[in-house]
Amino acid sequence: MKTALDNLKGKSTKNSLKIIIIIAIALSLLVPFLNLSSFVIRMIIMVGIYIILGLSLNLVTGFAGQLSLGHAAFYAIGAYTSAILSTRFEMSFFITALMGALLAAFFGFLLGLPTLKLEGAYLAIVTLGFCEIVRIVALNWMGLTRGPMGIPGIPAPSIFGIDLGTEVGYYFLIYILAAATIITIYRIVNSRVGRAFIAIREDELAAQSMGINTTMYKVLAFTIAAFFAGLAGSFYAHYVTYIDPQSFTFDESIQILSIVILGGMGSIPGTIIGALILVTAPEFLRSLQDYRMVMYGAVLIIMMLTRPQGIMGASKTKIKRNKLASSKISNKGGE
Amino acid sequence: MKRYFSLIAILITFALIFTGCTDTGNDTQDTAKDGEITIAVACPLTGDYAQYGEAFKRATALKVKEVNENGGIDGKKIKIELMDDKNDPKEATNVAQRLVSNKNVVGVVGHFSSTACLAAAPVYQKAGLVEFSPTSSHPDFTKQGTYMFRNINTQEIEGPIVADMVVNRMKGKKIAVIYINNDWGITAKDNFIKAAEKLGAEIVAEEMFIGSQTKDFTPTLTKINEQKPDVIFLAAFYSETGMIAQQMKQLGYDYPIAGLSSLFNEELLKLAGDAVEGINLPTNFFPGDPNPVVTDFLSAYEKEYGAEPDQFAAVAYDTMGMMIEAIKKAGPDRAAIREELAKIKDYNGVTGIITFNENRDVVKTMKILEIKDGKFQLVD
Repeated sequence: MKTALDNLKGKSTKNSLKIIIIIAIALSLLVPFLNLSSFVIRMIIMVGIYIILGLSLNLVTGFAGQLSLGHAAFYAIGAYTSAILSTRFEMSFFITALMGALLAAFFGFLLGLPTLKLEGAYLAIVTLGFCEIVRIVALNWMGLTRGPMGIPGIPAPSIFGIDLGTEVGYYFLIYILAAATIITIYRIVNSRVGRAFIAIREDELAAQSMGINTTMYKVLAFTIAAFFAGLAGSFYAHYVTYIDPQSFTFDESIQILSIVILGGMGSIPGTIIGALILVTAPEFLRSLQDYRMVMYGAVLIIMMLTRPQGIMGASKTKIKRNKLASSKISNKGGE
Repeated sequence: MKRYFSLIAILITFALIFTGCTDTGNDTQDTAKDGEITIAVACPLTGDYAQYGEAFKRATALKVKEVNENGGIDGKKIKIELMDDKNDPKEATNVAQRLVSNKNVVGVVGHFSSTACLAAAPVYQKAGLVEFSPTSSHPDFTKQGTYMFRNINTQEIEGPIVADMVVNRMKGKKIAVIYINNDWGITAKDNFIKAAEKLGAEIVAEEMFIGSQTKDFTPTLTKINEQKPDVIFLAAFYSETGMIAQQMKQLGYDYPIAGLSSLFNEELLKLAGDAVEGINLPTNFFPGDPNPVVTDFLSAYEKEYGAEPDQFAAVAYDTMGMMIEAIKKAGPDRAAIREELAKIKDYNGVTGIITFNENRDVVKTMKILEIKDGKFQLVD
């Protein structure tokens, strides 16, 4: 009886959730036609890029529990692959984006391999080192990346002869990419694979003893995350049309990690809100002039002091539920 | 309930973002009055490069004050719209987008680094707003479009001047080159070598280092020592030059050093002391210059801020001056300002006599300096 009621309750919230999501989608489709200034559209597009970056890192750090400080590396690989392929071989955005994402995924796979042996701070250092290696390769491999000269004049994306290099074009492109990322990550997290990720995060040893191939899943997490980061990088390259190694420093990794932590580790809506806040805050605070970065830091500190689990930190409740479940099981076992 | 709360939170945040963004957009548009002409200054005011942004801010403000005190442009006062780009390419494009959608802004003085300039360029070009960078030296910058201007000699102009200085004045027949691995260092090196070889010199060594990472230059220097060059040419900034000069002294090598205008900074003397004695370098701006344009600027700047202007302040001052010159002829019309700016010839600025070539790159005269008795001194 009780369980049926619970189910009913769950259904009604699920339904209202669906309605809200549908309304949100309908509203967001209207955005480019609301006569907003180009600046607002640009901010929304930047938020979109960081939603993809944040969500992909969240998969590794928030769900699989592996601290990565090198996410900007995959972002850079995607951006550079896309830029080089489109400027030298004149490939279209859809091919370069796919190639960029796949190459980033390949490097994610390679970086995932050492994680077999490392965890915690040691893993963080490896990813940090990887990020620096990518940046320095981009800086010094002149023949391929033009080094510090950067790659200017990356063409705007187009599809079937339709130029997407307009505000509306870019908006819908990033909209589709971000939506695809959200849906994919949501599906992954709520699947068997996602459960395995969470199990690894909560207790790797226990997960292993339950028969989860932790190695495989950790590498998988890195590969998927790198794929989406590479996709974001491709879009960024075609959007800003100029990239150089300075755009992909360690600071970029920290920015992405801040989005994940501020929004809440292991929370998809949290990451979206985190991206919204961290990307737009510097622009909101512009009126403070010299003090704006101080305020930006202060906002972050206050946020983390009042809500250390992040704005939508879901991990804690989940742990609680898990604990409850496990205690029930152990009680039963006692009987 | 918790779920609802979070969803409401999302919606509210969205709402705030939208209203907030449009509000700030309107703010900037409402503040400019009819009788004013708005020129934007975009530069890093926070972050690692804030010192350069500060120089831009002060110097452009000084120029505007001077013009406003003399009646402004056709009786209209000039107003500066100051924008911080943190020297970050993403922020720079945001700033650019903001400025082009602000109808009152007729021209932009900025940005500081080539990265920021290049990232923002497509936005300015698309909207047709002049982006006049005082300091971007990247060869591709002005190729981005017809609205990009720069007020610094590219290495294509500076290279031959320095090559002439090294080969003819310093009698360098065998030259060793050390350069920093960034956009500026590579173009500087390439242009110098091209010009020096044309003058009959031989390049005996080419060594690269990574900015703010390489601290030990002794391997590079011992390698160069084997070639016994007449002159060592550095495409580097003052901090590394100080280190190279000191390490050369410690190793007991005594080769004359030639540098670029980037070395003209008092910090070099403080950092390296007598190790940098005898370095030759070209410059656009020298405070010891007896030219009345320069002395007037110096006294005005010192009176206003109680400090001596550096070359960044000087070039920003000229950039604003030229922008105002163009607006005076064109009126507050973005496209007309571009036309007039491109036509400017022999502008008598504090950084030399300035003319644009057909690529909207400046060609400026340069002076040669030498470090003597712990001071920069003008040579002849």
